[in-house]
Amino acid sequence: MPVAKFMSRYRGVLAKLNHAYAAGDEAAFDDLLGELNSARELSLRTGIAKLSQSLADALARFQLDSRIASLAGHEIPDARMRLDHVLKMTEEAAHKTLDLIEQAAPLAEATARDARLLGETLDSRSHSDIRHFLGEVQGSAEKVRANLTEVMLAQGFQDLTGQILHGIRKLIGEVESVLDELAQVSGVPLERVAKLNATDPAGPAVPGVTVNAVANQSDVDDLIAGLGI
Amino acid sequence: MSTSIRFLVVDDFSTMRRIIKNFLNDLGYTSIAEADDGKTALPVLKAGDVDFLITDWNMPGMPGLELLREVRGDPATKKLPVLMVTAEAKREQIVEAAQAGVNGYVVKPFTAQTLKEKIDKILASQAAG
Repeated sequence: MPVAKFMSRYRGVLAKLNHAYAAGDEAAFDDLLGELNSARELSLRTGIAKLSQSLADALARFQLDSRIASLAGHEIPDARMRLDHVLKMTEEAAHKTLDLIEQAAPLAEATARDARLLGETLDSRSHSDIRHFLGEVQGSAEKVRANLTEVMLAQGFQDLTGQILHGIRKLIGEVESVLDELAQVSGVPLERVAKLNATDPAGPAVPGVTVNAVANQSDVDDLIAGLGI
Repeated sequence: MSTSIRFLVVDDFSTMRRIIKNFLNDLGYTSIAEADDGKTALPVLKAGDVDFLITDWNMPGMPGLELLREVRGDPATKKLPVLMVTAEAKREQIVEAAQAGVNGYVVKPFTAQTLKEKIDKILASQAAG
């Protein structure tokens, strides 16, 4: 407290105390002492209230900082890598489907064509059951071929969902760099490791994200066999 | 209709390039080049080896609309048929593409029939014009 304020606050009451003391007025002296005491108590209470508020603020800020540290250090990079993995998996799945369509389409075409040609070599007055069968084969193979075209076009989902995911991926990258800066400003070290327990379910394994995952079923079989099951 | 028409398919997604290429094959077209954005498409176009351009809009590097403007701005390619096949579906965008001189516009996802119709329509109007 500044000296001037301190002196002005107590000057009046000290003069009165001095006066009561000199006059031998004990009752007045006691009242004035009581006044002094309650004034001190009030300022103490105010001080404690301020202190506890600051403490609460500091605690809240600390929690926020550690949340930012966890988001910036682990959760956001984790989300980014998962998204990259989804982009890669859908692209691979679409290409694999296209590979199989490219292999199957000529087979269906050849079957339809051969069934037609073979039917044409048969005498139209006989073999009605075989001619009927060949007609069915041709129709089915043509339908399969047409469906393969539809399956092929449906793979366009990878482009459409991919564009949306690319947009979200960009946003996550921006959030990541902002959080990194925030964490640096707050001086809280980034938490690079997940707080999840190792056995908490976390969905499909993501390369670069999932720690200690098996690579394939034969790894699983080996592990299980090693455990005596 | 000639199946010797040389196509250039421009899309940043390899799956979509492959789908369109396969589809063109099914229609009987066998000469199909690919590029993954406007920048890689331009040299192919400048070389004069393309009769029909099918392009996406949203691509890194050079987007399809900019490619379309480049094509229209170059005397050598200004009459090249351009079909835009894109997920961009806002009316303003379609209007903008039309103003930039696109010959056809197909919104993804598209059906086989839609894509064939648009290609046929453009080729028919080229033959007539």
